[in-house]
Amino acid sequence: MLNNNQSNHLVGFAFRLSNTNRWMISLLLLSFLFLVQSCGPYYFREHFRDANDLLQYTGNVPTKLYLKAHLRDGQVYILTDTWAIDTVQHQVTGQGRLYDVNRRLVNSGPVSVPIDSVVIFETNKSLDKVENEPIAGLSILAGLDAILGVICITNPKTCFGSCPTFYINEEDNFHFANAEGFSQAISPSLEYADIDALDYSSEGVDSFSIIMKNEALETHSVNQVKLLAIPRAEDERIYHSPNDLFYRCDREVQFGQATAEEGDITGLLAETDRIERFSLADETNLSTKEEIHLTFDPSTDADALGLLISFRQTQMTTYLFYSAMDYMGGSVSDMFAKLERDNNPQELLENSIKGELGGIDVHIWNKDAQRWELQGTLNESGPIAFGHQILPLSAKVSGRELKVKLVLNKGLWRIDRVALTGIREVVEPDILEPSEALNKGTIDPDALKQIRNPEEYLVSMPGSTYRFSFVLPEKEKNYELFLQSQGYYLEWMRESWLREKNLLKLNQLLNHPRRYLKAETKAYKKQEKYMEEAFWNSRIDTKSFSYYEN
Amino acid sequence: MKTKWVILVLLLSFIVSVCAPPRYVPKPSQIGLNYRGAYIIIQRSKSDGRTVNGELIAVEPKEIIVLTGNEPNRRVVAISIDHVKKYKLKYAASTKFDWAIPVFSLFTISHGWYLFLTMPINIATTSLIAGSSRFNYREKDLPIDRLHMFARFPQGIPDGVDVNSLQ
Repeated sequence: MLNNNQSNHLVGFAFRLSNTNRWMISLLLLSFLFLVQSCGPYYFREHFRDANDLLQYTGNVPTKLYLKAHLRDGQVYILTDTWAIDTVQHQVTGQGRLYDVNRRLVNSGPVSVPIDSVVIFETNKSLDKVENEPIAGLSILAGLDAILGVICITNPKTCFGSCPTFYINEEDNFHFANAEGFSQAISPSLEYADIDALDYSSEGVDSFSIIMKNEALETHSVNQVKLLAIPRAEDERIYHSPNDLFYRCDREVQFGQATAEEGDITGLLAETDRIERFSLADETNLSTKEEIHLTFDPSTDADALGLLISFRQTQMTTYLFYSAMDYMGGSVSDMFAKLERDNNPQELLENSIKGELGGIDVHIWNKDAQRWELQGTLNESGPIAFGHQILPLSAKVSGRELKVKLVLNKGLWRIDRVALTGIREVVEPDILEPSEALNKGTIDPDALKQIRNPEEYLVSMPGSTYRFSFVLPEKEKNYELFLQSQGYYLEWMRESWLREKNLLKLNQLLNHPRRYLKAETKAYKKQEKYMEEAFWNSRIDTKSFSYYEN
Repeated sequence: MKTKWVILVLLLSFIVSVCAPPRYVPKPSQIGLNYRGAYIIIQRSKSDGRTVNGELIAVEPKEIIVLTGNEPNRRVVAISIDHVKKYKLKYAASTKFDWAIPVFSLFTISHGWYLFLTMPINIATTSLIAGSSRFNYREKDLPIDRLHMFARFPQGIPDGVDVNSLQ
């Protein structure tokens, strides 16, 4: 029996299953099925005891066939396609060879075979059709393999996964990841702790476990995985803000009317159903911004309001990150070493592409002052797991219309839901350490020690799967759960990237991001739609994969 | 896990490569010029139950005549039709495609996570091609009463021919 959430996932997924990669896999399967069905018997040989039957049959065959004449004494004539039946002389004539009973050649050349000496005439159709089928099958298979290979090499993220992914349900694939850890920490000096809401009810259970996977061609160095638990009453929810505060809020939320450039988008933003609102990047400049306008009619008694947003990124940042790796080419290690030596690598990152693209700026309309006032910015990296965050609003609104404006980079964000809630108080979470670590189903005390000790790192290689278990403080309480993961990861270089070194472009990307984004627009637009489709149509079971026998 | 895939691929390549037919089985393009009987493998239901394989010489009303062994130790064996459990007849030698199993499996490394779907498809497809029953008939495809069409002597053993001296 599927619960609502699972049903929504399936419905959402069904909508997405309609193009490139699905087609490629389907065609591969079809080529297999084609070969299976073409393996039936093929009948090509005919025997005739009567020369008239032979004449009638060969008269209906478009190509002249070789003829075998089996003689009563066991010898056999094989005549090439020049043979003819002389009905007057009652013989078969043509160019041919005669073989004895041991199939030694007796003679060859022009022959005349008395029909009375022949006991069976034999013809064989060409076997080319059967012979060519597997060649055709292999050609199709090779073509499809090559196309899929090109797709994956062109857009590695669509095929090779992403930074650390966390799952509550073991069977989920990365489209339904519950959290995505430290996506921006692409180097040791950029390590940070990332908090993700798990949107999970712990009612009636005294423990909780989460699975961490490395589904990418990356080395993950995980410093900590912790569970943040905050008890809540039945009419409450707890939300996490961009500045890592936790707010106890009303369970009830209010949805507003939403419009964007394309018109009314209320339906897309009303529910957390994975049916998201997103736009494509601007045709002339990748850093062009857009606006979403929302109108709420707050009906809460709470003193303060918070804007809830469930969102994630499109493939744009992935593309830009991979482009940067591409430009580094063979100098990638030098570049990362330089980044490590830099006094403030985080600042470098903020001032480059990330700063230029920005987050989702939230403004509210001050009716008295007749102007939009910035409330804050939401920013969560990664295209996989949703960030569920709250942004407290400074305006105190009661019984009046509240106008909200979101300003965001075009083509960068996928927004699933926007809602308004009443904030009751700021709360502190219980911070829980893992009580057990399983490495591919086996208890791993070393992994547990590493993940609990801030001085150590758990190194997770592609294909690694760890399950961390936590003991909840009180079984009777219902906790709102958040995952805190800290660490960094190292992207593996691809061979194709080594060939594309372009340090001038890299300099532009890092130091003149505005100019770079404008210049890169055309190249990105060529791939944008296709990248999104390719990413969302991939559905892969990664359970059994490992680069290691770990 | 990676090791298991490699073993599977190598094993499949080996299995399909050891099933090569004898040299007298013609290439498909030579089928019209072939003067020998087809290669047959017969599994017997009685006697010692051993399989008999060799060139199909003739199908007589009560027995199948097969020329077994290799030069110079060839031997004619007559098998009672009543004792034939099943058989497989190979009338032409197909082009070898066993190389395709490891080669196409290697292709899928470039497919990233799709490998879990595409590698089995590739292995299944190439194994099917490499070990395919193209140019083969089994008893369900070619019943015993039509088997004579692929014998050296489709008319039966000719009068005056000493079967034991056949080469």
